[in-house]
Amino acid sequence: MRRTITAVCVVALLASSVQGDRLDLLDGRTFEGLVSVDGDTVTVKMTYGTLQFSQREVARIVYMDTPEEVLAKKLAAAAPDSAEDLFAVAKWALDNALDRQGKQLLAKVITVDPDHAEARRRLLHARIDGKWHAFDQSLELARGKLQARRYEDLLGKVIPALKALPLASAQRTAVDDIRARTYLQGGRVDDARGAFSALAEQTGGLAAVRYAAIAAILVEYSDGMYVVNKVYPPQATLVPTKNPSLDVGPASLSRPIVLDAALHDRATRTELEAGKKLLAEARKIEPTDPDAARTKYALATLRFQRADAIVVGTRTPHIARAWHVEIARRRISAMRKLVDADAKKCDEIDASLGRAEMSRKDYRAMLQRMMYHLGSAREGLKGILALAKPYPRALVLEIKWAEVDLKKIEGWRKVLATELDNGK
Amino acid sequence: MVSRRLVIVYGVAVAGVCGLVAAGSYHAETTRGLQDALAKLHRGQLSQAEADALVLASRSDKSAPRAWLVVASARQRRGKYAAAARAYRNFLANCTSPRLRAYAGEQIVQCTADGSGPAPRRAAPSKRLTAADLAELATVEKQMRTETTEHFVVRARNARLAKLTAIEAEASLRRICGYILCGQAYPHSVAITVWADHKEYADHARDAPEWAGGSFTITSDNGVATRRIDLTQRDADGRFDTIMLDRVLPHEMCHLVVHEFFGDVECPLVLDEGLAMLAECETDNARVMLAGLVLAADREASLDDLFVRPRHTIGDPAVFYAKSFTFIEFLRNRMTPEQFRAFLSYVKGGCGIGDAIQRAICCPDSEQFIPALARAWQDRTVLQAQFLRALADRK
Repeated sequence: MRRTITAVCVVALLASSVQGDRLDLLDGRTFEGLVSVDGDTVTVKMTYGTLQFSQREVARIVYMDTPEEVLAKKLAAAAPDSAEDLFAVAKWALDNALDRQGKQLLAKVITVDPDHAEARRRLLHARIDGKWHAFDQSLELARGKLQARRYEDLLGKVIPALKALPLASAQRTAVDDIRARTYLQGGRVDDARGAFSALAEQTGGLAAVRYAAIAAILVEYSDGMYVVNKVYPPQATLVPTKNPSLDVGPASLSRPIVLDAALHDRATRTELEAGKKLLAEARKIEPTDPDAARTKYALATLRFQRADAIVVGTRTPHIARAWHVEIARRRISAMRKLVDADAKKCDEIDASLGRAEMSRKDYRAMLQRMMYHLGSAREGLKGILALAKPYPRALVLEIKWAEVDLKKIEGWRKVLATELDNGK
Repeated sequence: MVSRRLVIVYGVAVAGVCGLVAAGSYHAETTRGLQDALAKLHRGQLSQAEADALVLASRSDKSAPRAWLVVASARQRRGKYAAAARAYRNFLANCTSPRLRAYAGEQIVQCTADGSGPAPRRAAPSKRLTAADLAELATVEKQMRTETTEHFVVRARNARLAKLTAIEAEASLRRICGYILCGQAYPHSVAITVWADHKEYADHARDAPEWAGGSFTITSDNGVATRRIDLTQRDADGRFDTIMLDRVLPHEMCHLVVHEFFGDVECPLVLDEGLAMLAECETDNARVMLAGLVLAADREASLDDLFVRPRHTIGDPAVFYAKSFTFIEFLRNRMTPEQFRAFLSYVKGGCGIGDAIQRAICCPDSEQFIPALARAWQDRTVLQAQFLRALADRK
């Protein structure tokens, strides 16, 4: 016996946290989400997943207004020239995951009242030098002031204004980065050290490596004086550069080029050297212990990634690229051996075909073995291409060979597949 | 009693806090002072930078020993090399960083070198010989004379020539291992034989090319390696062949040392020949003039082509040799000894020359690097050739 399903429509004009429809089950459980009925099945879509029930399990469905409908009603009720009314609706929209509409409404609020502080704050607008600026614009302005050496202005007004905004993690990092640089370039070495250490803790992954490296440099050279022992950028000795280069001698870390030189030196001396050592060890053990060699290659890759992370954004980025290429080349060479072994086995089977009488079943089994080896070789070649593709210039031959062989293998597989199908 | 103790504890705490604050502000003051001196150094206000840093460095509490580096650098840039070296030594006395000690050591060497002016270059052997010496060295005795040094066993049909060749061989080896291979050791012995003339050379020398006046060989027999250099004493007119000592001996010796350094790996021709020409006692200006002339006419000349050119494809050997010499000399001149040695190691490890250069100087991998390097080399070579031409015209 079927129960009657009651549908109740509720207009929740004042509801502050509308979730959607409500589904009540006979066993007492309740779900909120978007409910739809299709034949005997009732589906409820929720934020974290979808559930389906038979109509027999359902006690009732309560249909409610969607957030968009509620918003439209709220907006209709609000006075269009009242910044406070509009802001209240915008706030409700933002609180109910209607970000796009909320931001549009905030934009309306500031056309009605350009100095509506809370609307500006929610739009990530900062008031700098008496003018409102969007976040990205403010950040550029801050960078400009840093270049112009307006340190007091930055630390006293701009950065506090930006820090007061409800920023996302990446945006907060960008602001803190400028603050740390401002400290350093302004000669406040201790404050800079603290700021970069904090950045290293608050950011994750490779960005943290860079900040930690800067903090470590500032610990080692706590008076802010670095001693440049090689001309920087290093290519300046061989190739004339448009930008000024840095000569050997003591120099202040408050100059960005000196910090770049210190980072380059640190990346070279620590990470690059450690990676090169691991690479040499891997090379030595590769013929006898390929698995251990692979682990060492992975560790070396990690070191090279850290080296690149330390110098990112400096005048000498990607210093470990040649080493990444070398690792890729070595791994390709090892993979190539496996591909060649598969191809050789395939050739052996191919050569044995037609030499002796064999049953249809044996013939099929041999074709299937060939197919298996071709499949294995194809996977190997795809792996080679995946490894080589990031370095198309350096590994042009590896890419070309893999592509040609892959084409050949595909041709073979097609022939074998036809033969196997015909034999069915 | 209790309150008195409390007063003492309170007094000690206050004194501690005051001490910490004072130390903090003292450190901040030192940092500020050093930063000001560095700013002046950067702006080129050398005497003011020196004076400011000297105040910090001379503090009785030795709280800013690193200020001596600013003092030293300012003096060095002003050309006061002896005073600069003294400042570097003052810094070294309080230095705990191995990196900075190495830096200060290098700078002291640099100051000493700069202070004493350019080192007198040892003239080529031919320039040191008189007409009587040349006549004596052209004499061929019946017996082979042998002269032995640390690295060489020299045999020649002239006792004085054997001795002179041994001295020049050691000098060449020092130059090759020190300047060209940047500290490479050579713990081997080489047999050098100076044959009386080209005929005798061709009859006895191992693998002697018909056109050559000298050659080197390394052979292995039952695990014993034999290194040998064959040379010629007299030219076709029967006079002592001065080129043998000036060029052929160091050239062939460099091939030998480079060959051993590279082991089983084939050294690119441009590098092998470039290094060998660099080892010669004096720069052959004709090579520089030729390279300058060719490069001025062909500004689009590619370095990639030079890097991979095998011997049998060389159209004009003189041009190839001139280009090889100027390019390798350019690299050696612009790179530090460590960088040049790393460059050679990378080539030995299988890298291409362009890749090895970029790795050695730790510069970012860029497609623009090799073309830019080619332009820099061409500009320098053309400039050198123009300078030589101007000198020749003046004479």
